[in-house]
Order: sequence, then structure tokens, then C-alpha cells
Amino acid sequence: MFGQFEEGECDMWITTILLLVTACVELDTPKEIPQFEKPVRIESKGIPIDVTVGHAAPYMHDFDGDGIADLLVGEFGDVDFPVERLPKRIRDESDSKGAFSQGRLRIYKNHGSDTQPKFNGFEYLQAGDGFASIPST
Amino acid sequence: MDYDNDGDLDISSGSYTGEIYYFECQDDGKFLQGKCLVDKENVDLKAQSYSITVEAWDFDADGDLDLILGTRISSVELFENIGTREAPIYAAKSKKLKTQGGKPIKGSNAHRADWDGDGVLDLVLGTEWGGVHWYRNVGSSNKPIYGDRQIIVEQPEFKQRTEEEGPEFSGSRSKVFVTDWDKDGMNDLLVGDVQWLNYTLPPLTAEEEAEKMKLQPEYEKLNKVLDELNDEKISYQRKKIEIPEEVNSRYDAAYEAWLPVYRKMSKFDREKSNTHGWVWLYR
Repeated sequence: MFGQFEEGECDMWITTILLLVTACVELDTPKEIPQFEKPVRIESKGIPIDVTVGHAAPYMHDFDGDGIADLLVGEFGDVDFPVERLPKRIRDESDSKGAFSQGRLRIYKNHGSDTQPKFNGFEYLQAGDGFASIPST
Repeated sequence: MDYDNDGDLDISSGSYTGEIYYFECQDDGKFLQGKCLVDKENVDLKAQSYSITVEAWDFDADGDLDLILGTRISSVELFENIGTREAPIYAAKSKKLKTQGGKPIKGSNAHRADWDGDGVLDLVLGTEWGGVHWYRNVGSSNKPIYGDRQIIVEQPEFKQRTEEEGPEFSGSRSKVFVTDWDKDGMNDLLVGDVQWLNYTLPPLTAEEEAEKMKLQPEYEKLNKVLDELNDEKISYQRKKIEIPEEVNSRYDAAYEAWLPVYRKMSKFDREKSNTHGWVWLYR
């Protein structure tokens, strides 16, 4: 069923070097690049959303079930990730403590409409006894 | 995603380490803390690459949810669900996604959307260096076959910009989501990024300058020791010999000594930068 896939593993360093060498020529010739208006930054409370330590990852979903899509944004984070929630294979490594940050998910509820979204701040997704988070570094 | 088909919304996430975290929604609507998804041997699922994102959809039309991973600089990967819709079990090893022509499909997040409006779900991807690409699905939504890579948003030209200037466009490590933002019937893009903007602090005072000069010899000495020990560690790695514990201990001690002095010296730097992560709307 998965005839399009490659089973073999690639060496990361080789891949990286190849990428560096071929980055400028690898792209296939685009048939037509879409034209957009000058991009704008999505705002909350009138200022651009700017997540902690960058790496914003947006997603739209009706999180609160009010029929209007909300904005979810992942972020890199700046709080140490708890060792006990690291993957088993790296949990016991001596340098794992403090090596990862808590990447969190911001939930911006849409106080506008589906055609004119409006955001007034955010809450972090909660899970268990604290913030839902994954290791980033 | 509704991971276990129990009618509520669960959440999954990639991670830097390459594992996939799963936050289960309980009956009261609250989420359990994240845990790593495992294979049938109860071993954590691990991507072949690192710094991954995840989306879940039924890739092979067998009625369950598979996991499609974007990776920072390597290929898009897929963990096939070999269990059921209600009780997923994932293959221990991911498979790398390729185009119809055999080229690797790459992107920092692999997002399924009907980009060209032909009724078939395509693959839209963010990239490590910024911009947005897509692969047209020349098969069907139930049996995707992807064409060659095409550009939606070109990779931005790198420019060192200041806080005062602000950003021009979306930056690097883009993550993309396709949506009709204003419901005008046309696809728009939300693009998340990371960017660094510089700023310059006022010149050092005479006292600060004197403090810096006083600290400089010690800092240079500690830097030299750390560099030498780092080279020593690398020499073992190059020979593919395990680094002796004694070398690691000396390195750790040198680092502990170096770190506070480095932090003090950093305070004297006048050129700084802030890390930003914005969400851009392209329409």
C-alpha cells in the first residue's frame, strides 16, 4: 500500500550536507507562484501575537465549541521541561536536566466571528496538574 | 484529533526529541498530561529525524488514523496505524514519504489541505528556511500520489533587521495552516515563524568598561580551557571511541567555571537580539 516510501535510513549528516549543496537547485520549477496581499501579523488585543522564544505553529479549531474557529498557536517556551516526562531513552542521561524547554500551546479564543476573527489574549492548554507541554530545545 | 474515536478531541504533538506526545481528553473535557505514543512492544515511537510536527489522518483509507510527521530538515515520515480506529497500534518504524517521481517530500510541518480546489487533498508544508511549499495530490484523497514540489510562498531573502525596523515577511522554520480566513471562498495561509531582531544598548559606562576589562583575562583563560577540552572530546568522537569519564568530568568542571563568567561578560555586549514568533496571514 505504501509503494511511494523509502525504507532505508539516511545518515543525518550526509543528508544535511546534501541539503546545503543542493538547496539552491533542488526546487522544481514552480508552475505559478500564487499572488498574495502583503502579509500581516495576526493580532491579539491590538498587538501582534508573539510567542515565547518564537517558533509559532498556528492551527484553527473550534476549541470551545461555540461554533466559531479559535486560533491555537504552539510555541518554543522558556521553562525547563520536567525530566520525568522526557522520553525513556533520554530520561536517565546525565545532561538531560535543564536541556529542554516546555513547548506549550496557546489558545486564543475567537471573540469575533468566522469572517472577522478577533482575539483578546490567550490561555495555555492545561493538562494533568499543569501546562500541557512537549520538550523543545 | 479524536485519537481513540470516543467522540472527544484529543491532542497530539511532535517534539524536538522526535517522539510523539499524546494528550488524552477525558470525559470531563480535561486533558491528561502528555505521554509518548508507543509501538506494540511498548517502545516510544521515535521519528527517524528530530524536531518534528504531527498530523493524524487516514492516509491509506483503511479506516484508522495514521500519523504524518513533518521534520526540520529531513523527509516527511509516516507511522502507519496497524491497529484499529478505536485502538491504534503504530508500526515501530516510520516510512519516508516520496513523490510520484521518487523524490523525498520535505517540510517542517506536513499539512493536508485542498490547495488547488480540485476536491483532492494535497500536502502543504512549512520549511526550515521559511516560505511555504506544496505537493499536488495527483491521486485521490484516499490514495494520495504526490507530484513535484511547488512554491506557494517563496523563501524570504535573509536580512539582518532591527527591532526598530520590524519584520517584513514571515521568517524561518515556518509552520503552515490553510484556512479561508475571511470566508471569501479562497484559501488563505497562516504561517508561524521564528525571527531574530537586533537592538543596540547604550554604551557602557566607565565603571562597566573597567569591570569588563578586569574580567576579560579570566574569561579568555576559561574560554581557552573549555575550547581545548571540547577539542579533546571531539577527537574521541571522530575516532568513534567513547569519551572517557575523566575527560567528561574535566569538561563539566570547566563548563561550570566558565558559565558564570560568560554570563557576566554577556551583560557587557551592546548588540543584542530578541527572538520572536509571529503568526502571519497571507491572503
